[in-house]
Amino acid sequence: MLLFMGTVGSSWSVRANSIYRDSMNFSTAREAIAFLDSVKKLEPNKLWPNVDPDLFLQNLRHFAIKPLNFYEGKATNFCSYSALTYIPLQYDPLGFSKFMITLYKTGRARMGKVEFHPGEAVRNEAGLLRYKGALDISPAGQMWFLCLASYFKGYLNFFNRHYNKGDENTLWASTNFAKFNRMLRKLFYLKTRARGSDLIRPWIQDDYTFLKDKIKDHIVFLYLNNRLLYKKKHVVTRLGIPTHYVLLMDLFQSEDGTINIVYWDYGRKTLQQLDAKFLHKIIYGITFCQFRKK
Amino acid sequence: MRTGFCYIVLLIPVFWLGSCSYSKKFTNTYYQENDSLFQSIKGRYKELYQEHPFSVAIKDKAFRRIGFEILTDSIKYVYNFDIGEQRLADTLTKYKFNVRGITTLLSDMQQLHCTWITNLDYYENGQAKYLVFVSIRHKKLKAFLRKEKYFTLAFFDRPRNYDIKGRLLDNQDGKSLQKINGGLFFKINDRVCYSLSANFR
Repeated sequence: MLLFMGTVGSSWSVRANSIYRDSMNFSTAREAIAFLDSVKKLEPNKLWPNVDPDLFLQNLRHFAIKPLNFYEGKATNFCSYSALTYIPLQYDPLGFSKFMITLYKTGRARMGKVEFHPGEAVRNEAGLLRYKGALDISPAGQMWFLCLASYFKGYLNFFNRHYNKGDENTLWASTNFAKFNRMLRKLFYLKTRARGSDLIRPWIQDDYTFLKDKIKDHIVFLYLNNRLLYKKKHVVTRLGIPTHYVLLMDLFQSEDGTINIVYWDYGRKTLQQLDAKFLHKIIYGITFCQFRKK
Repeated sequence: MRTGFCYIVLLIPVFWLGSCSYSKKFTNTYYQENDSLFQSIKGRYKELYQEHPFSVAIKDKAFRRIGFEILTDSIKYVYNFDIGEQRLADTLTKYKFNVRGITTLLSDMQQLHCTWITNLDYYENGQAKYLVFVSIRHKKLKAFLRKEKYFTLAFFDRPRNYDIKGRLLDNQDGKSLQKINGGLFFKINDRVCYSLSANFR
């Protein structure tokens, strides 16, 4: 719970325990499951008319047990929200479960410095998103994504600030780099630093060495040009624009000099082989975070 | 001067109509002409996928460069090869794929101008179901003043319902239009439907 810094009053004491000192984990999956078992059953809630309470609880259990299966859905702009969700799911599944249960029961809940109180349009839509793959059967995931997208706004959301049906894959849900970093700072008790921007690549001479150094003791997110990483057209892209966020999980070099990056997105880890030039070309932003000591 | 202007005014709608018509001609005939090979590719892909899940993208205009995605429970491996390259055979052997089966599949994909084949999941009444998704890149899908389109096919295991305009319907409620990869699909037959998409995957 400490991770969310103030979600619950007892959070501060957790930081003093040995789990935090040893491994940065504020709670475990077992604690989250024990908590969800104690909830037993949720009644349907008019605040979330399309969220099936049984499926919602089942989703939370699944998030706690298999955090890396957390899925942002096909054809959505939820990749940034999904990437940062790695932090609560991995380091504080109990805190995340409590937050979600509170949000379901009361329609409002606090995480970090943010008091989420989603509007009616968002509450009515949670549970109704379809044709998004496994996100179709994840009302909890839908609630979380819609709440984040409706609360946090950046300049990309300027012309579409209010949710309308289908906005999950429009500019309403988009995330520029500054907004992504702001979300991390406001939601979690992290020391967050970033290099790069929405249009200009970071001025780093050797991306591989830089990332290799950061990944030792940081959680590292990359802001990438997805048109090159997941090629979907055969046209040569002249204008490079980053559109995708991933969590960097590992990085190593093969004997022939090829760089192997392991990143997390779309509910699984991916290992992809790239050369140094290509890696430099696709990276527009690097965010690296560390848990604060105090 | 005035006559020239009239010619320009007349030619604009002619070009516009020409640029619109390519897709209909192509989609009506291409699947029918290659029906058996499409069905064969789909069947063999499903068999190979059962043994070891994978997807293939063909990434270049010459249909030589492929992106081979190997799916495991915990991680997806993405490797790039040229078709016929020894590294491809070595990798397939290492991951215990049916090398001959994959090689033949790739060759047939080249023949049909397929740029992407994968097994896509979708959900009905809370249950996961799968379809084989294939994209085709063809020179006939390029037209003057139009962006390139891909002919994408969805192969279902069971017959599907369509509305009177031939659009794929959601099996769950039987009324709403089902989207695949964010696009609407149209009937070819009761188990196969198509779309024209700006992206091949």
